[in-house]
Amino acid sequence: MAGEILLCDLDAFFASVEQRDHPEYRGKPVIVGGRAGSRGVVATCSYEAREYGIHSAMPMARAVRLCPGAVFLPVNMDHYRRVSAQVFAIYARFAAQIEKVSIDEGYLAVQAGAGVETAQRIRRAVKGELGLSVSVGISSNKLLAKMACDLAKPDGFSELALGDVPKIIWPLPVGKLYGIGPQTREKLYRIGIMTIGQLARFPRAELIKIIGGAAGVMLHQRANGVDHREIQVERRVKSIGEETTFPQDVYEQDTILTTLLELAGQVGHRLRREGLVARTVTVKIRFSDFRTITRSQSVHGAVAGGEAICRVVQELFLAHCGQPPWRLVGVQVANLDSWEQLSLFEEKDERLGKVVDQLRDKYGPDIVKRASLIPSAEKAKGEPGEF
Amino acid sequence: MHFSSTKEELLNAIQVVQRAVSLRNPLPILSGIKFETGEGSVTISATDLELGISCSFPAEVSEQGKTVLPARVITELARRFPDVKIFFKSDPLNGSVIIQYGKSEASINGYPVEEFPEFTIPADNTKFTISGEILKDVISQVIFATARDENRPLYTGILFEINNSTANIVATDTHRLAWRKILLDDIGDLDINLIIPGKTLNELTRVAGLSDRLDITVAENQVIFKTENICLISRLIGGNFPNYRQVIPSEYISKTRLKTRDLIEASERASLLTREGAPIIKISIENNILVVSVNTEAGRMREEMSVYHEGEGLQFAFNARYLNDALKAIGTDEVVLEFTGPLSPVIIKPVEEMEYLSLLLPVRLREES
Repeated sequence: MAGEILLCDLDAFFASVEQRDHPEYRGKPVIVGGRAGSRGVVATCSYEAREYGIHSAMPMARAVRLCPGAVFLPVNMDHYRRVSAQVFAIYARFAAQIEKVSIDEGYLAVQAGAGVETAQRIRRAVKGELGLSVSVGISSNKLLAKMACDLAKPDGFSELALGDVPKIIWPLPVGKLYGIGPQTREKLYRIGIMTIGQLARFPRAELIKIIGGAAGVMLHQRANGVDHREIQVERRVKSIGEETTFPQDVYEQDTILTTLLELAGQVGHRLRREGLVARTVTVKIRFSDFRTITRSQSVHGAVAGGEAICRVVQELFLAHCGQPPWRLVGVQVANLDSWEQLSLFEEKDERLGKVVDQLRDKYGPDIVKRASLIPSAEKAKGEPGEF
Repeated sequence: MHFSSTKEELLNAIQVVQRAVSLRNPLPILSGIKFETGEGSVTISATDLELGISCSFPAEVSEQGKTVLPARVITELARRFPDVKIFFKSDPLNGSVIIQYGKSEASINGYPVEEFPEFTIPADNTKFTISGEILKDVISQVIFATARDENRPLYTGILFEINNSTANIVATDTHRLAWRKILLDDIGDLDINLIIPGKTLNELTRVAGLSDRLDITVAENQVIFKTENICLISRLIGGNFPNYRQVIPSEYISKTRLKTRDLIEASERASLLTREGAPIIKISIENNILVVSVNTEAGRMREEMSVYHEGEGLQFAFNARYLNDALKAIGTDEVVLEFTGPLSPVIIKPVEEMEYLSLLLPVRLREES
């Protein structure tokens, strides 16, 4: 690859957004994550909180013990997603090729020699326009850009050339190498490999025997600063689908229609989580003899709600279901877009959908169910008299 | 059948009716044009069963009769005839029609005339009259808002809500809506709602002259428009038109006045960078400056223009094609946009007092606010 690669990573993203929006949180440890009393974990914490030994993915209960005086906040994903889109819109001014790795991290491809200049301009633009700090690693490949970014954090940028690897990367503990998880790290420790440098100089054939072919070759290359991965510009979701194979063949249409309602709800939830709407809805039907058909329908405008998806798939199913028994049904949406033309006359069950989405994001997909999806025995438990 | 006419009269009439010819219809007879002689005139007609158009032209008729000729052949021939008198004569031997032009002649095989559908007008009907100029004007102001999607037939039509001497004329595809109110003189105490297919009205504006008085007949599920020499008959669209009054906002929170041309040109340029079929552009207004912008994989664009704005600053995303359709239909140099909320309709209307407006709903961007 002739150009340079930048890894732009927002510093303590969720916590920084909260501190930016609420001046009273600035300078304080801020912990964004699941509820303090629950089994939730830390999603992001501010650098002030990190001084107490708190880090992301730590159980919330532990974070509370370490720093009871911190500001604990719930994850406001909708908001962070919007801010993230603004940040990526800024990146888009500086690079045509962008790979979005996550909500707060992206690789940018720039021309050779333009890396440092671009990094500085991006950092100025993001700070100036959005009030957020982003750390940038610059190198000739994705691996070194990532390592450079780790070295630059927080609120800095650094450039790493292949020639810097022995001096800067090799002394680091082997667990710091991208792609080495706790298990591989333990294996490497056992054969006496403690630093990235030791891994780089370890005979490759021996390494392959210990940790396997593909992984061995890859880790050996990486320890030497070699990484051939290209920027994956299109990470756009093309379709979203859910399907269910029944434990026994199903003869009743009602069972299928109920399953479709459930699947449509799940698909709708995933669709909205991606911030997308769909213009095509597909039903998949597998008969007991394994014959499988799919039937699609383009919808007028777009759908994002489970109910609207459900209406289409149920109609499609009834039109094409043939003779029972059925063994699998699936719901898929495609032709996805991130915008939706609003309508004058169609009813909106949007507010309800939003509440349901929030509950599902927080407590998992089963937290809210349609009454018709609850088996009658369970339903009986919830007789009104009990409340 | 035996008649003669000039090339010009013949060609004009054919060009009027050929839009109703249906070349792809499984019924072959519908790909034909029917010729029928009268007293000193010939009437030709074509229909696709949804829309029928007939047109009369002066001719010297020496033998009465009728025939159906293939539209494609007769249309193309008429275009290419020399500028001489054209003679049509049935050949009784084989049912074909001999066409003579100068020293040349052609024999065209026709279709069995009895298979051609009759334009029947039920006896029980309602009649009124409207000026061609007014009707053309009104249609041009609202027709852009009709839906093209045949799956939603209701929205492919234009509502004519006629009550006493006023008519509310409304079109909507649910994303936008256009409304115009006109006064109709001398129509008596009429009270009817018609949903007329957009296609019919489009053809009507094409064939009817500005100076024509249009006689309109409504019968059951049909509507007939008549001028001196043209008759256009169309089915009406059934169903209840949505309650448009309910969605036209009575108040706004801010408004902008601007030069129509400026906004059309800016949004046309901006949509060049958008994906085909999704010309989504952003508009923001602050301190009497309106900014049109796009930021897509293809590139970025930002245009500023001075406007006169009252009320809070705003930010919207729109389908540029919808916006331009509405701006072009207004036809005035300046336009007023009234805003009712970030995800609510924008009211687009002329600066001058006129009973005309259109509504446009914005686009909701899922990722950015």
